Amino acid sequence: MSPPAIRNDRARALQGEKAGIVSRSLADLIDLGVAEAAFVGLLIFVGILRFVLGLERSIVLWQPSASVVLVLQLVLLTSVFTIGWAGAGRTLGKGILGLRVLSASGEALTFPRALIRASLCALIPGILVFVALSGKNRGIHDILLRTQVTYDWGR
Amino acid sequence: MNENPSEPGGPIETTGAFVKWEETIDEVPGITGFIARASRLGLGVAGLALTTTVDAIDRLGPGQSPGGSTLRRLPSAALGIGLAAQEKILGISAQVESSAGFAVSAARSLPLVGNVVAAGDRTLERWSIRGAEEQAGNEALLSAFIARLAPEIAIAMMERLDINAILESLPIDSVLERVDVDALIGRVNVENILERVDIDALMTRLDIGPVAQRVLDTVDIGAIVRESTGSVTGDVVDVARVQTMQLDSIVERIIDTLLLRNRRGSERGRAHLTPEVPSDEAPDGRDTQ
Repeated sequence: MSPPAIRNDRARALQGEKAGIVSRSLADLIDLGVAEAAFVGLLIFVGILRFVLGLERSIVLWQPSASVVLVLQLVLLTSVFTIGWAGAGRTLGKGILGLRVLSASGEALTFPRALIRASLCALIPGILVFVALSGKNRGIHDILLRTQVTYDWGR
Repeated sequence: MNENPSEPGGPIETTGAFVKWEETIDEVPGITGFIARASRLGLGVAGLALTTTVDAIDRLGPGQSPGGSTLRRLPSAALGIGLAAQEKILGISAQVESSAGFAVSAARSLPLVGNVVAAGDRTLERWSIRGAEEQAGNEALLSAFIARLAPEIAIAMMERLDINAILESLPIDSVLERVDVDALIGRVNVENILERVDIDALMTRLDIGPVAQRVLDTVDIGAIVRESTGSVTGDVVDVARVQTMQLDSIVERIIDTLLLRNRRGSERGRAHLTPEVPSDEAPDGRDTQ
């Protein structure tokens, strides 16, 4: 069943245009939530694994050190971004907000380019601010990697 | 007046008129009584036939026949003539019967002849009694025979009848073409029928379970739920996306204003600078995008 057509005139006109700071930030927040959920899941899984291996007497959440927590969260967030952008061009957050990450020429990102872009976004959260300041809705990472984030509701 | 029309002297309802019927001829025994009853029956039949004939002639051309009144008087006149003739015949019959009775009585009083007549009477009486008894037995036998024969005849006739052939020979289509179904339905008093229906009893006789199961089997409720919830979810997501787009454009314009930047010339600027009143803010509150 094909999705219904976009009924809002302005939304229809903006399809394919570069997305603004609010949409992109909200999408990244959702993706951050996904990464955090995955992180909690990982803590539970490792806690169960430690109990099975006899390292703990009961099932408790794994409590790694702060550095490990930071690294794990960065890795998970990068993974979420990379998996989403290298495939369909959208993570869960960008799918909900109707955005898509493409190359400057409008093609899907390759895995290495998606990985580098995801790493930059994960390491430098404030990188998105430049999107608003650029005047063309392009962040520094978009300029460096020749990518763009567009409105694309998939219809 | 007796209101019961089945009793003599009571009103007998005919085709729109009341005719007073009275017992005009006393029950007379003997041959004269038989003649009286037979003639009365004959006169009645003849009168009815004449009345029917005259009515039929009158219907062919009502009011046009010059002799119409004459014709209408004909049955009554014929009945009158018949009654007069009946009286004459009954008078003659009564005289003959009286004379015969007198002759037999006279013969009985004569010696020797009287004995012969008396012996003849007794013989006739014996034969009469025996005949009556035999007749009663014969009638009972005949009744039993007919009672046994009638079902056999009916069964044999039913076996010989080809019901299908009869049904096929019936011009059902032409009959149905003549039937005005709408008028027929219009004559049916549905309210009256519904008042007679015991819905509770009907519902208790209905096995709702299998019926409901069949209905559920034919309806893909899951698909309906998925479609409806999907549609609702899609509408909500679309609203959120449009709102976010509006926020994008608002933030961009604020920053453009702060940085003294003019984006009106670009295509994107035109798209963003369309009237801010969103088309999704319909009066009824529904999202129209």
